[in-house]
Amino acid sequence: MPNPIIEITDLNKRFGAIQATHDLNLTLNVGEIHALIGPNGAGKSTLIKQITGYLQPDQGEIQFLGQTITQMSPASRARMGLAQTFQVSSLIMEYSCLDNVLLVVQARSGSSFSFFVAVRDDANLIQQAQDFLQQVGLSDRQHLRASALSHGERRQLEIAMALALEPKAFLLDEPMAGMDPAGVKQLIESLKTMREQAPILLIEHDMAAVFELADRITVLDYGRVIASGDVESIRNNKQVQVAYLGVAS
Amino acid sequence: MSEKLVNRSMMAALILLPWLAHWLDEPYYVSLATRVAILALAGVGLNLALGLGGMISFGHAAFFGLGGYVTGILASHALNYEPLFSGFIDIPGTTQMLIIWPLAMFIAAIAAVFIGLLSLRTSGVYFIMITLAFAQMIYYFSISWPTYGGEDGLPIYIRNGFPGLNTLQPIQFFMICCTLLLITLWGVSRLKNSRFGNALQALRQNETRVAAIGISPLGIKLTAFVISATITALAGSLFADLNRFVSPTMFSWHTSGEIMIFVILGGLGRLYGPLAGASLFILCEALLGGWTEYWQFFLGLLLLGVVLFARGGLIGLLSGEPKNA
Ligand SMILES: Nc1ncnc2c1ncn2[C@@H]1O[C@H](COP(=O)(O)OP(=O)(O)O)[C@@H](O)[C@H]1O
Ligand SMILES: [Mg+2]
Repeated sequence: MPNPIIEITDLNKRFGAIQATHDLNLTLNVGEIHALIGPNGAGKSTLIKQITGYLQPDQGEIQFLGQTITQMSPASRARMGLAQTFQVSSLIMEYSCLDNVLLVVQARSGSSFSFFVAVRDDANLIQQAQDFLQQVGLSDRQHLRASALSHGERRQLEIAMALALEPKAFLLDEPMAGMDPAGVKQLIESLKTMREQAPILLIEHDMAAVFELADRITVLDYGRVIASGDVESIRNNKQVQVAYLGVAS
Repeated sequence: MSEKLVNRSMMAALILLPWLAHWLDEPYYVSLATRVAILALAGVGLNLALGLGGMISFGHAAFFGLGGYVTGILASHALNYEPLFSGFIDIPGTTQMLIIWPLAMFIAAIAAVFIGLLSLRTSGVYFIMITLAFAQMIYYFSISWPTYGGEDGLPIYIRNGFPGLNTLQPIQFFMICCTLLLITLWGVSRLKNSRFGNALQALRQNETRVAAIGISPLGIKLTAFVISATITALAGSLFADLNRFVSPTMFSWHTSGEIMIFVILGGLGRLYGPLAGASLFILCEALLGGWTEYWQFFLGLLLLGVVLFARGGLIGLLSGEPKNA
C-alpha cells in the first residue's frame, strides 16, 4: 500500500474572482482520519470535488495510490477505490434503500453490461447489500424508498453506499450535518471501524466529533491551508481558536 | 387490476381481435391492428431511452425512417435487378425480411452511435434540440435526394418475404409484427431488471451518484440509446412493408412526436405503455378521424389530461398503480 494514499500537490482552483483552492498541499495517510475544517466557503467541498473528479483543477496534481488521477473521470476514480459522501445527500430517490446499496455492490462486483439476468435474483449480491445496510443500522428500512427516509437516515444510507464500494479511501463531506445527537454518536462509532478499512478525509463542523476522531486536522480559509497538525496543536493554535473555536482573542 | 394483468389483457386483445376480424373477413381491421403493433414497437424502442434512461429524444423519427428507407431501397434494387453497389463484386438488393431487418437495425445503430456521441454529453433542452436537429437533417436530405424518390417517396411494389409465410396475407403479416413485438417486450423486460437496466434507471434519477460509485454514465446511456434506435428501426422496416411505401414523412418531427405521444399516453417507462398508447392513438384516429378531421385536437386534450392528472399514463390508471416501480 503506497503511503500516502492521497497526495495533493500545489492545487489551484478559481471561480471568477474567488480563489476556492489556493496552492494547496495535503496528504491522506494509511490508517488515519484526517479532518478538514474551516468556515463556510473556505473551499472544503471544492477540494473534495477535485479529488473525486467532478471539478477540474486549474493547476496542480492529485495522486491516488501512487497514480496521478487528475485527468480521470469520476467513475474511473471510484472504480480505483475513492468513495465519497456528498454534503447534500445524493441518492437514487425512487430506489429502495436496499436497491441503492445493491447498485453499488453491482458496480463493484463486475460489469454493468449484463442484459438478461435479473440482478435482484442474485442472492449473493442482495446478501452483501443487506450486510452494509445492517452496518449503518438501516436494516429495518431496507424496502423503503430513499425519498421516504428522514434526513438522518439519508446520511446513513450514504455511508452504507460508501462502505459498499469497499474503497481505499473515504471522502466524507459533512456526514453529521443535520443529524440528531444519537445519530452523531452512532456515526462516530461507525467511523472508528471504517478507519480500519481505509483512511478517511473528514469534513466536519462538529468540533467535538472532530477532536474525538481525528489524527490530524487541517484548517482551510480562503482556499489556503492556514494550519495543519495533530489535535493538540490545532486546539492550541491561537489563529484557529479565534476564528473557529469561539475563543476571544 | 395489477399491472401484469393489464398487460396480459392488452396483449390478448391485440392477438385475438385481428383473428376475429380475419375470420369475419375484415382485412381493414387486421391491418389496423398491424399498425398498432408496429407503432407500439417503435414506442417500445423510444421508451427504453426515454422512459428508462430519461433521454428525451425528439429525433427517433431518424431511426424509424432509416429502418423504412433501408427496407425500401433494398427492395427496389431487388425488384429492378439493379445491384445496390457495383464494382469489384455486385451486391444485389433483397426482398427477404430476415436480411432486411438486421441491416435496417445495423444502419440505425451506426447512426445512433454517431448521434449519441454528439448529443449524450448534453442534457435537457440541448439534448432534445440536437436529436431533433439530426432527424431534421436526414429529413431534408431524403427530400432532396432524387435517386430514391425524393419528396414523392419510394414505393415497394411487393411486400418483402418471410420464409414459409405469405406476407401479402394481412393476418400472416400481422402475426410477424405481433411476434416481433412480443419478443422485444420480453427482451426489454429482461433488460429492465438486469444489471444494465438497474444502472440505466438509476442514471435517469441521479447521474452524479451513479458516477460516484464507479459506473460510467456515457457508456450506459449510449448503449441504451443504440438499442433503443435499433428497435425503432425494426418498427420502421415493418411500417414500410405495411404501407408498401416509404416517404420522407417517416423522418419528420411529427413522427418523432407521435412516437413520443405513444410512450407518454401509455405511461413513461411502463413495459406495455407504448402498446396502450399506440392502441389509444389508433383508436382515436379510427373513431374520431371518421367523424372530424380535427381529431388530433381531442388527442391533444387527452395528452394534456394524462400529463396533468395521470402521470402513470393509461397503464397507471388501469392498474391503479400511479407510480412506476
Ligand atoms: N461551481 C461554483 N461556481 C462558482 N463558485 C463556486 C462554485 N462552487 C463553489 N464556489 C465558491 O467557492 C468557494 C468555496 O466553496 P465550497 O468549496 O463549497 O466551500 P465549503 O465547502 O468550504 O463551505 C465559495 O466561495 C463558493 O461560493
Ligand atoms: Mg461544503
